[in-house]
Amino acid sequence: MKTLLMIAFRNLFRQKRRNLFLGSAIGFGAMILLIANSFSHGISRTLINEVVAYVAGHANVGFADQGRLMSQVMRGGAHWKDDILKIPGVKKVDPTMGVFGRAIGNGRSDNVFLVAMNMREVFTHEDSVMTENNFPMTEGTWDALLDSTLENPLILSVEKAKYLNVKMGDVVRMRLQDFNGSYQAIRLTVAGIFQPSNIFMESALFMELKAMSLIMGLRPEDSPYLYLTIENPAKNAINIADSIWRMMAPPLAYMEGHTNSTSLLVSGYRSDSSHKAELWKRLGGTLDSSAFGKKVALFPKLLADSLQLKIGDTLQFRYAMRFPDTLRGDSSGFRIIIGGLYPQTDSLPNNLVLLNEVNFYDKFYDALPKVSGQSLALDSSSFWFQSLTTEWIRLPRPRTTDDVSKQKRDVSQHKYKGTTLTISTMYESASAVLQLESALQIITLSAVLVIFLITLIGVVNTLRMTIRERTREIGTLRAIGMQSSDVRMVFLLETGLLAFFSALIGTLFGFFAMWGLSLLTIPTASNPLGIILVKGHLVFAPTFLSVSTFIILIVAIAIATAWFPANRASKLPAATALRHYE
Amino acid sequence: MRFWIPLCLALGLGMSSGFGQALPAGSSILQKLDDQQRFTSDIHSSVKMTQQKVGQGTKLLEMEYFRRDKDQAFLINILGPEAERGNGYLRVADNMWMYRRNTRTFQHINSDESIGGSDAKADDFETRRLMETYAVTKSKDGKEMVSAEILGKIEVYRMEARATVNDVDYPRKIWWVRRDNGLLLKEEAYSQSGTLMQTAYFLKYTEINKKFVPVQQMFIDEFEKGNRTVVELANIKTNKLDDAIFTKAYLESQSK
Repeated sequence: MKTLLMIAFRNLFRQKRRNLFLGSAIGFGAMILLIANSFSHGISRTLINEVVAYVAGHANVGFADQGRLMSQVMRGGAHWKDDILKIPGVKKVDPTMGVFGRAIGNGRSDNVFLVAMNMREVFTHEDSVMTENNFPMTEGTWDALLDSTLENPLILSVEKAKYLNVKMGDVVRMRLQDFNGSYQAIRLTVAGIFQPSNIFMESALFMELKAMSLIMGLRPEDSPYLYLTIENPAKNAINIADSIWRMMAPPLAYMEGHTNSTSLLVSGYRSDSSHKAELWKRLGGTLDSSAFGKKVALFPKLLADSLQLKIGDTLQFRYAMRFPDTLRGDSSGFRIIIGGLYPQTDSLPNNLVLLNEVNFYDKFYDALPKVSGQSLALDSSSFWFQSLTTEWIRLPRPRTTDDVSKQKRDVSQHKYKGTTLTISTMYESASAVLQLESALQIITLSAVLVIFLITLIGVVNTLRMTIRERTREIGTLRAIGMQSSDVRMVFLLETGLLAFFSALIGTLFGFFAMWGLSLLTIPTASNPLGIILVKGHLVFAPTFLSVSTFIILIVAIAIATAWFPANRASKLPAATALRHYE
Repeated sequence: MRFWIPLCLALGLGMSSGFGQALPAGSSILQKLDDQQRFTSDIHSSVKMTQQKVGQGTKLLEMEYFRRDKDQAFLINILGPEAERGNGYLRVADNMWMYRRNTRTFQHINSDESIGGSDAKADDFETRRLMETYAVTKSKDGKEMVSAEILGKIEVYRMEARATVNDVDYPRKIWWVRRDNGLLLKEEAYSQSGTLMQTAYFLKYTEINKKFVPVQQMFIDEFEKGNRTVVELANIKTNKLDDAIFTKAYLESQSK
């Protein structure tokens, strides 16, 4: 083998010019293949790591308060942040929120997106690098968001500041709708201006999370959207998201309270037509449809008889609040209008009052009740559990970007009465980005394969010429005892060595070219390409796996192409080869 | 001569603050406003919305509005401008669809979707009882903030109210209501922080089935000065509407 390898290596230098041209063509193909692959990989890495991870976290826990997509709040969910942090692999949980609004600067106005920045928690080194990469400041610093001497400090992009005609210290007025849907007017003071790394970040305005929470009507016990930072997200994000999903199984939503001295449990029932029809059947099948109205309650008949209540009567219900406030103290209450009397059923407590979920959730989220957790214990697979209201509505885990979009559409259209909970990772939110990378890879690979096809026609042609030139030599070698398989091997090794060294040199040139291209600074302002740039530079992300795969692929294709002419040469009888004359 | 001075002052005060007159309870004014808004029949009318925005000129949106009383279903068919003509909105029970003439498709939407690209939302076409959403504000001494005033040349009650629920557009409102017939003439809407956001003027009423309907309203954006919207209603009919109107097929047929 060693002898064959030496012969093949020596043969490479016999037709230097021919092999140089052929090697250059193979090397050029290898270089283009590497650059194209690294570029498409760089685009998806930039989009995922610099944009998707920044905008949506490695994973996120999202809410839609009573089915309103823009009200991303879970009433009473503040403790979830600490619960999630206990899960191994979760490095950080960032509460955040964003809202669209109308901003008015100095004589100019524009639609903007106001985003909360959590500045009160320790910034990790990665956070600082990411923030600095995405939002390099031209004036002021991010710490200015915590400046208590300014009225609602604001940081915005150079482009937005220019459009609104504002500079450092100027006041921007903004109109927005809070989590309850009420209009809010706020005054914001420009405390910093940044140069966005891409066009995507241009329209965002930033203010401090705590200040924004107050404006948005977030109570201390509530939780806004949660962004998770995860250790080794590629490996752990999906598993952690699945764990959080399992952890957040919703309990039944009900209130324990009293009317006068009689204790009552009040819960809600699902009001869609299929649940209502089944409920009607299970409650005896005699209730009038008006008993299921939005403003009235289904009252247990036995209890109504003992309290001498009838349909149409009203009673005051009071219950202890989970989070007492200064306005209402530690209890809240509302009026119950009896719309129907239902017979006793063994599955439900005999003091359970049922409200239409539309009515129930309004009251439930307005003042969350303190409950023992024992009064209404139902099997989670039972009909009653499925038909009664839960504290939140956990939506299935999405697996692709399509699932995420479908879920958003569903929340928007289904008009959930309770608050929906969704848990997704950037790999699901950005599966389209990964698909984009795959599509780019296929396109570049196809284009490069065409280049190779043309190159390999050259390889076949060159090899045929070489074999023709060396026919008498083959005859001599065969005459002195070389096996036909060895003859074939010499030609295959020669082609393989040529392809290997050419691909290696092409790869080196590829790295040089990528280095050179990544040094170019491309202006990002108002440049749609800015989204794939980092600090105005192109990003290439070659991997050892892709580089080695390409070299092996090129060598394999070259050898496969050389197989047929080499095989034909090896089959030549020695006498015929020796008689060959040109 | 000296006694004329207090007498004139007293008359003046009587004119401006209702001195000597017992002010009505705020809840009764609210109830009256609610009763006026509440129609117990189907409604069909033409609606013209003229929207003036700073730097964007004036946009005129014309549409037909149908409302069925029994389930508060409604249908909006846009008649103009040309770019929007044939598009429409249909709401039945909790479902709402937007119809696009160009694509001939129905899209399930939220009720906070903008109508024809204007500032109006589908929610604005629904009625919500004031008594359930607002309560008259009380001063520190426990008195309702209702006063008698003159608006232009008309005697009115000025009444300040705060929202009793969270999910209203404006948590604080001030109304100016005619003393003689309880018609709403002016409304100021404030944000949570107390900033005046919008002033509405109810310029013209018409009487239909013993109820007064505001047929010309003007909404002034106080936050972004220069923006205003005028809404005009015409051809109001209250006869029962065919159930076939509140269907996708009907909306689609109107676009042809």
